[in-house]
Amino acid sequence: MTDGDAIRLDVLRWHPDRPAAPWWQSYEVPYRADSTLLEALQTIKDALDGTLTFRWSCRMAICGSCGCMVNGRPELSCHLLLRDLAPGPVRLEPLAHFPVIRDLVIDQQDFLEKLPAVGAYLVPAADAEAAPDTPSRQTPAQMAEYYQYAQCINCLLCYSACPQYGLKPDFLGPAALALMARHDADSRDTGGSARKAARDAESGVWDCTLVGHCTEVCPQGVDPARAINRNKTASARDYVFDLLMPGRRR
Amino acid sequence: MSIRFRRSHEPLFWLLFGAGGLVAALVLPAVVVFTGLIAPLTPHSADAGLLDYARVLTLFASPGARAACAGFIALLAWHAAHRILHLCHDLGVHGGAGLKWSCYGSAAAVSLLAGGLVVLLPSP
Repeated sequence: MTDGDAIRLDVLRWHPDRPAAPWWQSYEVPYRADSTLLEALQTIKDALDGTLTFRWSCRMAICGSCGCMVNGRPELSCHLLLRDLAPGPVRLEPLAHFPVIRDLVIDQQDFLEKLPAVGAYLVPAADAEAAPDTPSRQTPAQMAEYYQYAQCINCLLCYSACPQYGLKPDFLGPAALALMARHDADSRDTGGSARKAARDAESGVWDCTLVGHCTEVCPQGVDPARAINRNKTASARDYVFDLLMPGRRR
Repeated sequence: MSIRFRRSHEPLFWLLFGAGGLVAALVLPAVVVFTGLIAPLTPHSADAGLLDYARVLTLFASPGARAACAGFIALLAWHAAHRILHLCHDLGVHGGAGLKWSCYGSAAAVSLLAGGLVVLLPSP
């Protein structure tokens, strides 16, 4: 390709103040060899149509803001080069399975409520909490146990990829369950028992049917499918022990 | 907002499904190869085949062999029931409790039948 080419973006748009159903709008956007899809959206916003709305922040696939459906697949728009999408046209839609606020902006509230529900935060031991200035030491092997899961940037691509979340919105979902596993696997954490109710629930690990698309679309290389299905084993083990020894727990 | 969680009984069915998957992956191919290829392709006289009724009955003379056979059949049924139920869900067919009962009920019926054969099969 040469600099000065243009590509057509078809964007699914919706505005809450307009009664109309969502509509497709096309834009011809010039691009260079190093232009990203996010830059194309910014070009539209700056030069072609200031009403187009989308979220973005870091431009380098670390803030997790700019997720959208690109040709039917959840992607970070800053993570795609337009030259790889040429000759187009490129179909852009808001992330699947979420309520739309406007254009490509979705409502994250459901996920934000699920994060605390799975205990996605570190619960330090009492002595560590009593001495907050003392470092909590960890070996490289202990860190390797959770490091992969800790790379999650909450971009919600995995929720859009997950057919189970689309069918059952109360499913806690890939990212929340991977973050549950992340904290359970952390040697500094003592909150595992408080997370079990969420893990063992119908809407916890057991709604997952191991489709695995969450892992495929993750821009950070997190493997939520593995996290969830390892926790199925743990949940099943506890189920059997609780059945055999009533009063063991709760 | 806090989310209320209800404990799932899925582990029970998932463990049976997993055990059935193991049988389907390891035992079933061996059975298929033996009964479908080795036995018919092995040269034998007309009255002494590898799968003669009397010979197979001798194989199942011990209660352990009968129980293992019934166990394999039952686990395969539970595996199939769980697979069908979740396949329906994935295909957008949400049968609710009725579908659940019919899937797992069928597996339970097959298990009972297989268990009954252990007892009712004649001794050689």
